[in-house]
Amino acid sequence: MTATAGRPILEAEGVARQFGRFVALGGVDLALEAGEKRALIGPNGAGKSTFINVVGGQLAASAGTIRLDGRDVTGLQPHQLARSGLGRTFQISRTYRQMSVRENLVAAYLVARGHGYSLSRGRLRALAAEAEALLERVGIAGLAERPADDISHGDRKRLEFAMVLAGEPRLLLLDEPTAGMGLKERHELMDLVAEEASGRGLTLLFVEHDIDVVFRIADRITVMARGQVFAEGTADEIAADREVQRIYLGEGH
Amino acid sequence: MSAARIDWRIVAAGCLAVLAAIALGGRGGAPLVTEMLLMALFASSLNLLMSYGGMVSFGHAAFFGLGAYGLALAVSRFGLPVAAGLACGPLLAGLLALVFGTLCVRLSHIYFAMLTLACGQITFTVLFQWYDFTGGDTGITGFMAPAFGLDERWFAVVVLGVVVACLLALWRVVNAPLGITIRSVGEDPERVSASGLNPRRVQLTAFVIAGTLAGVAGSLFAALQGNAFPDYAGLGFTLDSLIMVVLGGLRSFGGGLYGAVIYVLLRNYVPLLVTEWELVIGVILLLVVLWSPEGFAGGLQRIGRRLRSEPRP
Repeated sequence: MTATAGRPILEAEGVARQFGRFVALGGVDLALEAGEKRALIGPNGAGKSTFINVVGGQLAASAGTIRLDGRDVTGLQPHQLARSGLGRTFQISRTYRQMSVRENLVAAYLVARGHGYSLSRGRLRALAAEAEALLERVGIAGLAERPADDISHGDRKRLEFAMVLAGEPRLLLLDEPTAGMGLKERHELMDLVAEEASGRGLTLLFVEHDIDVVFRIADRITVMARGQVFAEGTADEIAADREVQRIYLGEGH
Repeated sequence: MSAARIDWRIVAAGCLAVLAAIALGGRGGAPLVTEMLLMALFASSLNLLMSYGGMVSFGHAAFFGLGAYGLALAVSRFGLPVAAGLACGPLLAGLLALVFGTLCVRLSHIYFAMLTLACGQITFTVLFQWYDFTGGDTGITGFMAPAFGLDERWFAVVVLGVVVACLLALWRVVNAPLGITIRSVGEDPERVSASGLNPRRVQLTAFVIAGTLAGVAGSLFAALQGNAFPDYAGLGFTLDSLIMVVLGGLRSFGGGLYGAVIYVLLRNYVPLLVTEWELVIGVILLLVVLWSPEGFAGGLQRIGRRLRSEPRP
């Protein structure tokens, strides 16, 4: 690992996860510098999503330590991690399908601001303008009244991203943010993600299969294979790595 | 289910209709209306869990029964005045909802439902077996004059006041931030969790609100009859509440209300026509689930939409 200035915002040490006898993660070490954009790539079954789920608290680690801003957060519940500044999207975007796009975002704001249990409707009015502005920024303001179930897959990804931004996270985990999207949509969404991350000084860890997207966005790339970190480096380093080409880039190219 | 203001015209019209039914309904009118109102509150409390919180409870009558026993025990065993007893009922129901809820929200879906069933059956069994305290299967009787000794019509008016107040409070809850949070958890607890709120606590909050309101209904039901029986906490009442919500309409605030009116009417008038009235209810339930899964309220909405989008000359 390269030594860079500043303290890592996320440090994973020997993070392992087993499902019965199947080892999904066999001791992953990974550190993210504050503000960097890191792509997590690797063939299917490499353990990328499992790693994201362990860091996000959706899955418990079988072994290892995870530190957020230097604080040991291993074993914390997702809502505790979210309050510590971790935001995430899911591989299959999770939104409140029967609620309108606006309500989805308002719900996210309420939770983020600690008003989830409030009985005051004034809180809702106070958030309306903010929600509107954020919908505008992610480009779905025109869909505000529509149920989340009713909008396109890509727009739902944008909505989920906005919901995460509402929580003002410092670390953002995106699990295949562009899965199932067309080429153009995909680039537009990731440009938006990169822009918001840079503008807000967020640290980004994203799982991505589209190599063009990865090279376009990521400062650094971590390659996983079979539950291990296989290689790590800048885009150029990874592109030049023969072994990586063999196990990953060669496939399907 | 969009957040909306209370339409006071509808509230006033509904209250007037109920008052008219009480005044003009003759001998049987007032008790029937009272039963309808209490069932409406009971079903609406379950509807908070089902339509908003995404939780199906198979033990909701436990809290109805505990409301009834809270009153009956407070008056008969502890010598409290009836007015204090009426507060004890919902309190007992709410407390037990906190205890049972803490246990039940640990699991989801069918497992949650099975836990609520178990809690309901435990409550029923305790009420049924603890002769020294609860009177067992003979229940508790004679601790107060039925309907406070009021004329049945005046009692119905009192119940109307309480039920309307409770439903307005419930409306307030579902349209406040808390209501949005409860719906969020009903839709996707994982998203709520990843956003920074413990979904189990939200579910527990909804469970306690629902249990307390069911307790209010149960207390007043016991006050109406002047008795409390274990059946009030039994599976029969639980099924009644589930059927009312489904008949009235899932995903609608009015679901419990409509369902109670329809169900109580059917239960009272169908037996006059056919002996196997449960069969009729069964068939109706079948038709509703197949053709209008969102119940009476869903049917109304569909008709409303059709009228608006296809104006006939």
